[in-house]
Amino acid sequence: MRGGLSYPKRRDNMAGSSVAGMIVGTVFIIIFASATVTLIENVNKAQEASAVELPSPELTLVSADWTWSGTEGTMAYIITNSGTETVDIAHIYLSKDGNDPFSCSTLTWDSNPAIYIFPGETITATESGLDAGNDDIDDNPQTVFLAVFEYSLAVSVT
Amino acid sequence: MGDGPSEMIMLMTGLIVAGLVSAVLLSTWDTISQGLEDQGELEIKDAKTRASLISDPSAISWDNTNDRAFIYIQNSGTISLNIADTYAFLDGNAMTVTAIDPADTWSKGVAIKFQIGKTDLTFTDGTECFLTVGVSSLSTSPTGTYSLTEVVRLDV
Repeated sequence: MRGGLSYPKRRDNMAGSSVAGMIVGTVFIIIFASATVTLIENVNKAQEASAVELPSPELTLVSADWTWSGTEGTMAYIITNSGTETVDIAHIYLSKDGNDPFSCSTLTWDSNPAIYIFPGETITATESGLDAGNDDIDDNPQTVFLAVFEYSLAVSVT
Repeated sequence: MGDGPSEMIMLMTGLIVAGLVSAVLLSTWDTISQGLEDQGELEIKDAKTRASLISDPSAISWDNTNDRAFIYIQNSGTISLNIADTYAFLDGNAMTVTAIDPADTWSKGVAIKFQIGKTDLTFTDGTECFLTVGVSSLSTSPTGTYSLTEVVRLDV
């Protein structure tokens, strides 16, 4: 009789413990799943940050030639896109002898319309009407500095 | 029968404790997850926020009379920058930064002329020092930041 009474009670206990174990286990599985999903999302986001592509143009200022006609000066710039990105001319800035930089879009180009310099392309720009009487910094400039985004270089004027 | 209520109490206690622990763990994980997400978004914003000095660093004109110089900064990132949030340090001195005839929007590729100055700050011709310029993204939540530091030679 004693065994007959205790057996069902043990079964009830086991059933209760099983239910509790299942509930607790399920909760922890949900937590673990949530953690895994969030971890994957954040890893993907971190990869997105490292995949941000910034402009990285490379130009070569082949030459900067100064000529003086007796009444006005002219600068001729020969620029080659030596990189792999197409470069918007308006984003290229030149400055002579530390003077204020100016956008290359203000120059007269040998090709028209000149909006972009494609990889491997070489184009010539002319800056005319430079009057030594108005601005002595334009008189026989010695150095031209080119900057486009984080790329820059300087050449001596010939 | 005598064991029944105590076992039920133990079972309920266990469930309540497990529930409380689970709630704490979920809350903690949610906080960590939110922090990681915010950090990821900030890193993306920072990566897109860039600026570069396009003035010739070998000849930055410094005016000892007016205690100022003019520099040109180009947005070399991929998102618009906040012109008003730009700051600069020259040779370790915090400078007053004023945009000169700024564009409406400081978008990619656009260069802005800034006047940087500080009262009673004088230099000798040819001084070589560090110029640091900091910029912030126009969009916020989060705000991307970037600073560049270059050695410049002052033309006084």
